[in-house]
Amino acid sequence: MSRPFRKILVANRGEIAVRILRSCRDLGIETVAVYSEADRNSLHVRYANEARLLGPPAPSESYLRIDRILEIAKETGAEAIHPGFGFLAENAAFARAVTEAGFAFIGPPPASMEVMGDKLASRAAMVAAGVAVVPGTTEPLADAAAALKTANEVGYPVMLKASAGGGGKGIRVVRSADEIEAAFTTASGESLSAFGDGRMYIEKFLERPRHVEVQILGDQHGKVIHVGERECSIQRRHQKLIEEAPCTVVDDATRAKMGAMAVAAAKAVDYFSAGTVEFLWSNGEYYFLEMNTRIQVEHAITEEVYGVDLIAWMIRIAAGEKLTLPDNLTPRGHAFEVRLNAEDPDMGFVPSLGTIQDLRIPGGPGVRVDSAMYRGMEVTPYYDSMLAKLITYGSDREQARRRMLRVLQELFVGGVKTSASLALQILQTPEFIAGDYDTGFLEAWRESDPETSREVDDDFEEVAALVAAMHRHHSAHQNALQFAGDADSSLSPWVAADRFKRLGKGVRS
Amino acid sequence: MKYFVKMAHADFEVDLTDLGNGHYSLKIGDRVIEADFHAVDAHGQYACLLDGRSYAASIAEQDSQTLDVTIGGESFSAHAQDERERTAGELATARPVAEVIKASMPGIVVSLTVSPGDVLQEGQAVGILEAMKMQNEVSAPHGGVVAEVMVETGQAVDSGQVLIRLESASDE
Repeated sequence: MSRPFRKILVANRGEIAVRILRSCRDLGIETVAVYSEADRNSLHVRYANEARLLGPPAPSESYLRIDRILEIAKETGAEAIHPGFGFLAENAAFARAVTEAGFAFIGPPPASMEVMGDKLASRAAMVAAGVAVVPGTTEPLADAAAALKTANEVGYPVMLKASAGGGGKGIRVVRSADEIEAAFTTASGESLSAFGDGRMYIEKFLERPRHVEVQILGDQHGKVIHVGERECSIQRRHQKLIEEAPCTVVDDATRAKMGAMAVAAAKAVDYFSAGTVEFLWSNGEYYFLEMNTRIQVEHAITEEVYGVDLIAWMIRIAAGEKLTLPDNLTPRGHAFEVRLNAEDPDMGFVPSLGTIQDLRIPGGPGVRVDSAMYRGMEVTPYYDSMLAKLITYGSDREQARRRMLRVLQELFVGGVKTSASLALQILQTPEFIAGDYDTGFLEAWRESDPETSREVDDDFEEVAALVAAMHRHHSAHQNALQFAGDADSSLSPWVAADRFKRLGKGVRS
Repeated sequence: MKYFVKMAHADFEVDLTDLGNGHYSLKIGDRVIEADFHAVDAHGQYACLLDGRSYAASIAEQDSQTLDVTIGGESFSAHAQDERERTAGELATARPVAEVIKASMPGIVVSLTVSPGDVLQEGQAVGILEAMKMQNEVSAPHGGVVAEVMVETGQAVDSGQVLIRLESASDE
């Protein structure tokens, strides 16, 4: 197996940096990590072969410093740069700067990123390519009469949206023609007084929409395939919490059609590398929402049900290799992902900062944990709150779901609060068990102030109280004897392997 | 030894008898539970048997009395005091609370818009904290006059840290 590159720089941090480093290791590629002053001890720094300081913790002074990243790439002799997700991943100027400096950018071409990054331009490109978009207007409506005309064409119910709208202001759902004029006048007026802009758009209102997205993979020789869909409707404030693949409402025929549409969308902008075409799904219809021109957080569930390493393919494609996967891949089994965030669900999801004093990572059949956590890790306020991704695989949906319940019970993160307990509750709701949920589910469910339904009868609160009492008693007696436990994480196995190799005992394949 | 444990939904009074070697007899209401309780490490992991049912429990201390207890993937906040602490606590809460504005979450101080001498209304915004791309407004829990601003813009603060000291009511 030839190596696509000799050395890659990973311009990111946290879980995704570790994930990319792992694929590099699998491919026998040397790695360079970059880090901010807050991340000196991070796992990605320790897992890489080389590591260089970017600057102070603030992203604008570290992970967003294009000049520093290119400088380090030159110094270390890296051949390619992987941006991960977030930070510079969808920054076309960065992608261009990377290529112009003579490195390979492990991602899509900048021109594709630019089109897909612009709401109006991407919509126009999709319409031209015959991809279904949410029916509606892209130009502001002249008046109520124009609104009526468009609404009649689009079909009811429709949504009137203020161009400057936000926070629910300037938005009206209209269910019949006789409501249009009044709704237009009030929504436009509301927006004018709140935002100083009364311009209105119209869009088909989708009942119980689901967020279903299709993974695509394309090479630099014109081949684009789809790697199935992911269901990502469990969201809070547009942040995904739990994802699954495949989607329970997508059958084989729909998958083939959606997949073909996603491939057409990618081809329309001459896309290559990995990308995701997001659709809104409602009552069996689906419409293009946007395309994410990067690897996504939830890519791992696709990897599990399709048996492919998407990051490895991104690397190979960036090196100019041909995509050799067949274009009729079929999913096998079912996978779930839970995003483990450092936040306190009981306190309105405020970030939970602190030191991870203790850590128990789940294991066993069908379990994959993509994580950047380690004992002693400081969770700082500077970056995203995602600590890890918990992924389970099963031969069917119920097996994968039950494995996730087990994973969430086995996991322990001491010292910071996480979203694990919330995920555990969601996974046990009748709606989730049935796969019958939409993007509004989580907010509605939380507002209903649900009683947690659990399979275990034990009164865990009482158990916790007893444990707390015994802990107090135990600590009081141990205080005199207390010694500092050895909290040091040992050397990363990779670093250890490298040391071994340098002693001349290891063999590089 | 009695312990008073406050949980989210109920308060528990646990009468604990230490039988040695990690064995305890726990009286709770009119029930007696036989417990076998062992620390697995020095980081708050316990192997716990209650009348033979097994629980893997983990405890993170917020302070010596406030504990985050995790059992079977569920987290509970417990406030546990012995008799002496409970008596002391009752005395302490009888004292008036300090006149301060605290950080509602850990984070970076993005801005503080007040200076000493400013008169604040209840609910008035006094600044913004940011953590993990989330901004939260800090507002005055009650009216008052700013005595001292304790932190600077750009500074990292802990949850509950005092940001602003108000002149106490008795100064008025």
